[in-house]
Amino acid sequence: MEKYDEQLNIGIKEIKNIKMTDNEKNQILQNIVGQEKPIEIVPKERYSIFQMFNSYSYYMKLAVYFLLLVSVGGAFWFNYKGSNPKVTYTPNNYNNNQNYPLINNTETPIIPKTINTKQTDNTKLATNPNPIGEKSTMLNNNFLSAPAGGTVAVLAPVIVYKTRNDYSNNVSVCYKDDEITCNPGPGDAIHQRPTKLANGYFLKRMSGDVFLNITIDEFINYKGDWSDLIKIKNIIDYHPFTEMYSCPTTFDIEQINQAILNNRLKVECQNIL
Amino acid sequence: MNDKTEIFKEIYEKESDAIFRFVLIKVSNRDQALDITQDTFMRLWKSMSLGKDISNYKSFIFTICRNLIIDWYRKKKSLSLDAMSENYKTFDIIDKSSINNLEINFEGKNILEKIGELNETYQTPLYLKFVEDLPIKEIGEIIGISENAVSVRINRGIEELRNKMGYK
Repeated sequence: MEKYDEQLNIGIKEIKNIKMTDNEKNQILQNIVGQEKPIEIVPKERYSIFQMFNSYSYYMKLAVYFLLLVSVGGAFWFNYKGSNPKVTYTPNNYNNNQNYPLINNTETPIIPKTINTKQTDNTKLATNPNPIGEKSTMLNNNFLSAPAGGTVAVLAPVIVYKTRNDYSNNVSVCYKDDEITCNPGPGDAIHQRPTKLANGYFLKRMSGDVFLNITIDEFINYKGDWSDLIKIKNIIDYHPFTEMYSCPTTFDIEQINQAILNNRLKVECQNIL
Repeated sequence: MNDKTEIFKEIYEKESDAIFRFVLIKVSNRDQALDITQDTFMRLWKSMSLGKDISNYKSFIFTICRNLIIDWYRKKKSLSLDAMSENYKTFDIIDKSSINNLEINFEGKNILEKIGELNETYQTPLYLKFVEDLPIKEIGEIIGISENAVSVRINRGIEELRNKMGYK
């Protein structure tokens, strides 16, 4: 038994001699502790904006200060005179200037209007003084986003257009790169009928870019597969629009008609064709 | 140099060889053993840096080390097709091939070989008890078994070792 213990002890002593070399030991310690050094944050040297002038001569400095004074003062004067409508016009004074009669959209938040898409016949000249705000006309530019019936929130611009022929009763589709990219279904084709305005203009509703030779009534009442009618061969006009304007969303139909009759559509609305 | 660094260096000086040894007899590759040793102390250093409360550094680093060896075996097993084709050794077994490469005398090799021939559940407790002089409680913490189970394994291991060495 003693011999066993002795042999075991010698063996264990030998095993305990298994060690790393000093180099290996130091290398590992360096790898661990060395990489965890705190990062010293060196504060950036700060320069004053006027420090650059130190090397300038007296007259040079004077010239620079004069230029700064003129440019800053000029900017204030320029704004004070009201030359920049986007900055200076307010609801109190914008009507006094006939050149900028519209409320500046950059300063006025666009409030979604709740309107009703249910409408039976709007091909007649609309005379409602405020049809947009009073739930009568849908002005959504993209017909696929407008549900048939119910209320929608309108943020899209008011689009007024004129076509080379009267397509007010024709189905329209989106056309891009030689293919029809979107189209109405029989359920929502009724909402493609535009609102008729003065002088042959129309208020755009759920219409597309090109018109088909199918009338809206034919499309709605078609007994077969209605998708058969949505064909490129049925497009009758690839460039139907002769004029198109984007009017402020604050405009009602009376204001649009007034603008048309006063020949101010190009002034008050933006030409987008 | 702050206190934590000093404490870490002290622990490293005291325990690094034991950890290296423990790894080397299991992985049979000196470079690999150095890597695992470094990883072990790296984890200890990070734990200390994070301010973790470590009650017993020795059992803590041995536990980390054992887990890293387990990870290494798993990785090796998933990478090696040869290893997959054979019934590969578990991580608690002393690697016999590594014993031959160790630069120690005959008695040391002999003891390691005999420990390596024992039932695998006896090997690590016996090694930690006799080579690293760890108390039963810490061995239990490292292996994840109760103190009683450690005592039983050590006693049975001693018995088996004695038989293997020809002292019946």
